[in-house]
Amino acid sequence: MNPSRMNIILGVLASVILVSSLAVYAYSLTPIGDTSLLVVDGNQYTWDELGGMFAEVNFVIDEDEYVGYSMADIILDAGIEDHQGASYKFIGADGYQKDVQWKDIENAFITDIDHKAVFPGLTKSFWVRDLIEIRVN
Amino acid sequence: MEKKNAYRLLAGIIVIGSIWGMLECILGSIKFSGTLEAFPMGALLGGFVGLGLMSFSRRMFQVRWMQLGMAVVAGILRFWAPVGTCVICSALAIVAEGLVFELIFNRPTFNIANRGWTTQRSSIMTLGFLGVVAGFTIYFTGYVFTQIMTPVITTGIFTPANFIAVLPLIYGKSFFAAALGALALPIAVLAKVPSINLQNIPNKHYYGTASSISVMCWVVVFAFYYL
Repeated sequence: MNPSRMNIILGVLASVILVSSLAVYAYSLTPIGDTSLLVVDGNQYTWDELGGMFAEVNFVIDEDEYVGYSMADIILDAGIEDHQGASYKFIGADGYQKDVQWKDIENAFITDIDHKAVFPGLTKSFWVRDLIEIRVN
Repeated sequence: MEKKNAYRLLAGIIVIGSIWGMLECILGSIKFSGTLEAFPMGALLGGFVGLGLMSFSRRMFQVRWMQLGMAVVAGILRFWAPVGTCVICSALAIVAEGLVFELIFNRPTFNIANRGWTTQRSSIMTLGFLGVVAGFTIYFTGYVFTQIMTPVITTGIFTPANFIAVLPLIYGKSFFAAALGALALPIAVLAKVPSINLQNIPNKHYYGTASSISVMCWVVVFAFYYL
């Protein structure tokens, strides 16, 4: 291929990649929901409310120390029917979402500072940062 | 390929793959907090370290498919280091990155080993553009690979809706790998290095150096995680 023609094609392709990916990245920084709330199957909690309603717990995962709340306590408080058989979708402010079963929720936590859903029994790719909603199916 | 050259190539694959794997393990385990929490370490590893090492080795050894072998070695070292609970997924993602590199750079048009690149402006631009495309593709593929493989391997359940929801995030984060690739490829291909003909290095020096560096990389990872 003619070098100058290849340069033009590669230049256009590289520009499209850089501009589009930067635009998508910037868009992903905009929260898709209200970050001051946690919605659990339609029940709304403010993060301040959670601090008053649930006891803070300290936990350690891979030698890292965290402070947060028991996820099971919060879900049970929301009054989920058949909570053991339900499937839960955790959604972050950036749109990241993961489906998790009750057995992995029983020993899971939500951190109090960065509102991260932490599942000790699952890989970190299941952890959802800036949690805004827990949808129950 | 002569038997002697094949052994030398194998030693090269092991030593550079070990360096790559060690960097994946050590840098990949660094945890940032606060404003640095969003630091794109994955993009740095895929778009700069991985692409840079693969490009540099292609330039030095001029052998196709060598980089896939390096990725396998790096993946094995990564698998050996217990970072996270799905190390097999990270290891396979590195191998996928090596495969993507081969698919791009085995094309005669993008032969960075023999094309006679110079430091002329047009060459730097071409390599920069190519680095953007390669860095983006390598990182995007590795990330997609882990998003598919991790739920399948750890829970046995892959949810397409979750995967589709995360695709824009992966696409956006790949920007950093693309930008870093624009730096990595020109540096790896054009950087002035002492003119060393690998074929002329005596066996005892070549294999001695290669095995020492390889062992050092594995010992460093072992010490980092197990001691």
